[in-house]
Amino acid sequence: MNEFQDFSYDVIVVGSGAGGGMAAYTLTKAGHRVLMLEAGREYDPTTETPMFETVHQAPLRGVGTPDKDFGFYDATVDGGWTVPGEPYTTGPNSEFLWWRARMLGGRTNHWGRISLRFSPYDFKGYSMDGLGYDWPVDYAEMAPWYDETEKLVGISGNNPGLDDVPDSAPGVLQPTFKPRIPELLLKAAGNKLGIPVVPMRRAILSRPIDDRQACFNATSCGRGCSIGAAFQTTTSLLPLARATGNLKIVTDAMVKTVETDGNGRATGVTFIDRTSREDVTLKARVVILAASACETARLLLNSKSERFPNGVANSSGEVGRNLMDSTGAGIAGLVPGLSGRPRYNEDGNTGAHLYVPWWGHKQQLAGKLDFPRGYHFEYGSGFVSPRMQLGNFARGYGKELRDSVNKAYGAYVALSIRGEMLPNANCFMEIDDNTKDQWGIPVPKFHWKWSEHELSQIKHGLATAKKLIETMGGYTLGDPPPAERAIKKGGEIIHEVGTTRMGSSAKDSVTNHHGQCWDSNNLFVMDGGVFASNPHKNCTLTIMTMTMRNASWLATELNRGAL
Amino acid sequence: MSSNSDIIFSAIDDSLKNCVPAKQDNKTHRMSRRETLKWLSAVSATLTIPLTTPALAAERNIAKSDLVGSFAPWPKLDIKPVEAEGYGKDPKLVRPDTSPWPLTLTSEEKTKLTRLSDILIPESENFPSASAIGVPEMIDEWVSAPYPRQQRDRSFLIAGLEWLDYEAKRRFDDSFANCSENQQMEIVDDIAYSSEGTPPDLDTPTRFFAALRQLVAGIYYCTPEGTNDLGYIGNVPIVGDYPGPTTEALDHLDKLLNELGLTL
Ligand SMILES: Cc1cc2nc3c(=O)[nH]c(=O)nc-3n(C[C@H](O)[C@H](O)[C@H](O)COP(=O)(O)OP(=O)(O)OC[C@H]3O[C@@H](n4cnc5c(N)ncnc54)[C@H](O)[C@@H]3O)c2cc1C
Ligand code: SF4
Repeated sequence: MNEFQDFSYDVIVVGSGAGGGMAAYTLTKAGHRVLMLEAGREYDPTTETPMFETVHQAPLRGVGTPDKDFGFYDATVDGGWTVPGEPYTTGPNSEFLWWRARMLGGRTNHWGRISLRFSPYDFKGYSMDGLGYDWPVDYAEMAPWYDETEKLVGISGNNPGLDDVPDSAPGVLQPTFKPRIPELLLKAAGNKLGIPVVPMRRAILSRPIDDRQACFNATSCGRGCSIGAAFQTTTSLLPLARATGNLKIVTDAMVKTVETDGNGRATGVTFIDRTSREDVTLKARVVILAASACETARLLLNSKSERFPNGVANSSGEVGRNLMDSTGAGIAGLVPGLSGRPRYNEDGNTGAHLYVPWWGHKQQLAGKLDFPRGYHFEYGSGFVSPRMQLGNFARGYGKELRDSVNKAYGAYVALSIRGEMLPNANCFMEIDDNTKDQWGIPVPKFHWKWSEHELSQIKHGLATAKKLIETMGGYTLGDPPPAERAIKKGGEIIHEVGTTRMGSSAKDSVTNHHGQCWDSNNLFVMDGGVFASNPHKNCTLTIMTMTMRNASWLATELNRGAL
Repeated sequence: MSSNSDIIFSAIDDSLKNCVPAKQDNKTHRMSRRETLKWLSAVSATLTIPLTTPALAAERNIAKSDLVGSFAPWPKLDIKPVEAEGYGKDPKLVRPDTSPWPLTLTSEEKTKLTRLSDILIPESENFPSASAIGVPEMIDEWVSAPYPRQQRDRSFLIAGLEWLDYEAKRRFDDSFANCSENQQMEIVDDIAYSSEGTPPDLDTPTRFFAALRQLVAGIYYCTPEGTNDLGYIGNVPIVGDYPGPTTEALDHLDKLLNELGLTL
């Protein structure tokens, strides 16, 4: 633990996930010295990933348990919906789920890699319909940063020329993965209904970059990817940053407060060394928080001083407010026409090769839909590697049983809605003064209530999914339930953002358009906390893009001796 | 959670939990509804597994004279939860440890399970029976796991195995294991299907059989042999780009699109 004390640095980065990884990469490449503090343990996907292990080899055939919520092989260390010794609480009538991981690379080790860039609509929602907030940046400014980020991260996909899917610059995207049979059927159904079905964009390499190999089209990416084809910071940004010689990573370092002086400047941080359980205080010229939206907000709220009685960077009172997730709901269907079809290898990159982007911006602007913001469909189908749930399809016994499972296999499809939610006053987090974690740090308390906007959107999504499945000649398993029942809990889609919103005024936002705290100019937030809105597009690509942009700006500031 | 299988299986779970059975009078969907229910009968049944039965004195040695009525009563057993540790939040994933907890089923329970597993999945022309590839042992591992879902299954399955003995005793004055194959099948046939005509006394035994079927089939199709039976070809690295569907698979799709009046 002491070995880093000889390491000189300017910047402390808290967290090693999407935001922290990109911040460290950008700054070290620009020649700045970075000390990274990560609460979790050291983790190496090249040796720890169960690539070809089958569920047959796992306890309970790999099904999820309270120890491993998303299945035995899922690359989540010491986390999931619960972290031992680190609880969180919820307010009255609030349900909220908080997914965490305690490992180097954070949740980038097991994320779904779906990487959809925001469009001009997405940055200026308020200007379009008067709801929520505009971002203090626009698409034109972000576009080149998306290009840079997509190249570095490695995104396979294409430019279908739709308003919801802005073009990447030529040469940025890697080749797409050929669609499979059930995906082609969905596309044909979409053609009939006027609903676009286009190649998915995922952070999965179809061509090698650096030391990372191209995807070999087998093995589930949620387990991590030992060959580096599926993006995770532990096989990409962190090794690249380490190779500059400018990065030192300290694991098992749970930061509990940001230290500030009487003028509001950040002087450093205090962390708990998880192995010795001792407090360590470090000084720094600049502190970057990238501990994930809710951990970062918690850290700020827990950093109280005379100057900041309500927590650092919180003079606006907005830290912890504007908490957003994506909306979600799923519906499954059976397509008899896909039953008993010719077998072939349908693994592909094990995720969707096609998806349904949002097609209704124009209808919304014309006032033709009863919900303001869009959604997309993720699609699951195919001859997937068998899981315990196949037992659901068994009927009778003997030959009938074998036939029923064989008939169902590859004939089930599922559409999963992922939609934009608007910030609302009922969705926020604060500190629960009565509950501390095992390190003595007060924990977050979450408050949650979906609004009519989200419920109407889910209703539309379920009805559309049903139409798509029926157009494929299939039927849904019963009628879609009412939206209130179908919609997932807050946090359950794991796209939580907004808790340290960026804006154009210190009065109603926490940071400026560079993620720089209004109250403390050498304190930055570089995770999903800064999101001013949460478009239906999974947040991580934009976390990384915004971080690359802001860390590049910070690097030039440091170069010119500012801060 | 964005792999194809995650999306399918979690949406199936959601649908089963949430979906409203379609209205009876909806003519256009009538066929499909019936078909849906047929496909799903097994599933819905197991979703209503009762929680651990309340602690009542064990009644394992029930007397034949107590077995009055048209079917044996559902046993009220005092099944204690297992006391073992789970594998924790950071288990070794590469070449994982097998059987992380002690197995707990008795030899009588295993004998019955073996028989039932093979009734559910007997040997076929090309593939082995469930017991030949260790399914009963994996059920033992399942019900011995210290997690809530597995402990619920444990209480329910053990009670169900006991019920088979009650019913065998009532009908044939012997234990299930000692009954002839025909006698065993006579009981199984009464609980292998649920329909509107299922007598209320057989409701719970029918749900038990459905739960067991789901478990046996799930485990079986995860084995290499079961996986071959399904015709899954994957989990092998491909050199170069993903080749996509075969010509045969595309021809099949063409026909389907034609039938449905769809175009790509
Ligand atoms: C199963 C799953 C699927 C997902 N799929 C997608 C997808 O397809 N597309 C998409 O865009 N997004 C997806 N996401 C979301 C994505 O993982 C997150 O948006 C992203 O990882 C957030 O990056 P981050 O850097 O803010 O946080 P994280 O990646 O969570 O990293 C934060 C790091 O900070 C550390 N940390 C926390 N608190 C402290 C502290 N006090 N001191 C020191 N260190 C600390 C944590 O241990 C962690 O390592 C998915 C998430 C999950 C779980
Ligand atoms: S499918 Fe491809 S990207 Fe995903 S884990 Fe396997 S090799 Fe890596």
